[in-house]
Amino acid sequence: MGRKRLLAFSLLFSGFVLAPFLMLFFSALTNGEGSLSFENLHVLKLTSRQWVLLGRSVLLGVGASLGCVILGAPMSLLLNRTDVWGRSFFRKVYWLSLILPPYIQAIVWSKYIPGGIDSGWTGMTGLPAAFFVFILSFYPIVTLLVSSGLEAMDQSLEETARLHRGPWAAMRKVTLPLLFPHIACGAILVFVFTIINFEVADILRLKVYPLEIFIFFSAYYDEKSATILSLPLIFTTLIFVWAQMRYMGEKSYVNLGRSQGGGIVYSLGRRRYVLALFPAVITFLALAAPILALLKGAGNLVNYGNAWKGGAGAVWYSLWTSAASAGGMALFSFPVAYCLVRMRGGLRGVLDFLIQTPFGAPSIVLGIGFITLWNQPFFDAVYGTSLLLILAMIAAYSPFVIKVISAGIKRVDEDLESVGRMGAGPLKVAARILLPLTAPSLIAGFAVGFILSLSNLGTSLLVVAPGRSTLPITIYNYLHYGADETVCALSLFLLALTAASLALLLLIYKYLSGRAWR
Amino acid sequence: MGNKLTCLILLVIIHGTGFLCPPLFGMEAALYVTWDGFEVDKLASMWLIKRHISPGAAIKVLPKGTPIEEGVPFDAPDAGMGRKFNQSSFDNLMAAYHLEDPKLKQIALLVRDIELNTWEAKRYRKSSEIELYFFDLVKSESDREVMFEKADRYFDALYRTDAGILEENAP
Repeated sequence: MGRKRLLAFSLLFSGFVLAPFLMLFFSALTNGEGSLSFENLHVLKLTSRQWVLLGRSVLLGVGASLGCVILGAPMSLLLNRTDVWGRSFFRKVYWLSLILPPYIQAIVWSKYIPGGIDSGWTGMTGLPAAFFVFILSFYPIVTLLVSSGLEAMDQSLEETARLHRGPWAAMRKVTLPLLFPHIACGAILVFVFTIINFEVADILRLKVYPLEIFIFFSAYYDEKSATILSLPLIFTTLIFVWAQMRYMGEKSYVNLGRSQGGGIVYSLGRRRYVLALFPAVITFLALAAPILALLKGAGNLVNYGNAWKGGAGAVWYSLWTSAASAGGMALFSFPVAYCLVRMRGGLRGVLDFLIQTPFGAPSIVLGIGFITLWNQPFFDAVYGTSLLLILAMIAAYSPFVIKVISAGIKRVDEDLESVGRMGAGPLKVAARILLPLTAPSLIAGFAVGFILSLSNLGTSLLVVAPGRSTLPITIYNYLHYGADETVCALSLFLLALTAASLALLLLIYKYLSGRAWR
Repeated sequence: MGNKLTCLILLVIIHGTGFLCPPLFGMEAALYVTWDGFEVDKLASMWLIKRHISPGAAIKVLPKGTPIEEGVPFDAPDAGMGRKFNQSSFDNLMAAYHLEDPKLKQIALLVRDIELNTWEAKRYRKSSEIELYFFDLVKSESDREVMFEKADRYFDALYRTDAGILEENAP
């Protein structure tokens, strides 16, 4: 496939990803007959209550991102640049808390931790409770990004500063300034993920703006108002998404290469034992405590049996739809990622800009956009089927998968392709050179897409086929009916599925990495 | 005659496989099953079944978490006629039994306002009143049968109310 065709495909794909949002704008600016009308925009004149909700959402986003930076950045420095006790163990496990979706953290901390949020042990309700849940859920994002920055950093700069000015000055004057884009990007991502999340607020009964949109849509069937109300939120998040794109520039979000190791490690002396409490406590709160609470809450084996009876269909449905979605993401994201990495010029920036936009889309807004777009007579074959869910997941999570695959393509020397093109066509070059070398990143992209789709609640709640249910939706339903044991058992099924899939994909990734770069 | 008999046999077979659910076929089940945990949507659904869907039907209430293996499940997680993100159990029962009574539709709006609008400020004035009444009823009435009876009486009265039940609160 020539580069022009690849570009055309990529633009088409970005059109598919953006179509639900364009449809929302179209719907907001037209009347029932489809002609232009600004009449609906009066909804944009927010009531004082809605301003308070929007303000609270922004405050929640700011608080969560500050909290994640305060926990996540020192965690990364501690695990990557010091000899803190248990360093190797904590590096392997801290990020695993990402397999617990924020709504599971919210369920666990509000209901199943003895003396948790609901019973006032932490003295937290409302915003502080939500801060706590979001910080525990998202701090690994900052840690991962900072770690990626530390891996990519030119260590000779740090080394020189350390020799001349000592370790603390080197950290303050060189390491932290160089890491700033990664920290800022982590903070922005956490802000965006927090501000668009409605599931946690729904579970904690916290009044935030996305819940207002959801209620207009679900309780009053007022799709138009829900659509228009979502515009301020979309604009707010888009500003931040684009800001983080500018901040990161060409820097990688993920490091798919093997860790170079042997970086600068500061000796903490005896403090290495005391400071180990920091990753230990955070890992315990974010990962071990919720799992233990779920195990306790699920009770005996009979409850697992009952949960399986109620949730088996949802487990299989979630598995195959997530696998199909992730497969679609990997398939479609590859040519787009290739374009973004290899292309030069202004069009590349435009494509990147368009393709990253769904990063900032609240899941319910994407769901409403999908319903608005696909609920048309000529899409009858798709609307109301599982294909709609799969397409929605592809649109929602492809930006993440593209980032992962781009990191893999960046590692392939362009000269290799140029040499290959001397004796073969582009398809052969792709099949013989590019695909084998980028197979690990494709698997990594598939893994990211699969896990995000498996745990998605907000969008799938709206677009799932009638009569079908994914595992998160089933958990959400049981939660409403107060079937505590079943909720815990089903949540454990979800975590076990995620962990098992991740382990399998990691094995495949390692095998392919070994083969590709041997 | 032969064709009619074939059609009848086919219909019996199709119905026997459960392809046509009872509500669609007009053969009301005698037993409706739900979980405990009483709130407006459940009590309104029970009233709807008793008064408008299947008068005389038995309603069985199982403890939360018990798999429902008999009767027609409603207002429970696995039930088709249960609460969804955009429909109350009452809505789903009305849809399943094709109930088009305008008064029932008004009550459905109130139940949805209570069930799905999680804000304290409800859209309809009556919603807050109903929510408060049932909050007190469920809290104070330990005898289930008495609670069901009082709930039925309340919805009977609401059904008979002529005007103003959908008066909106100020935004």
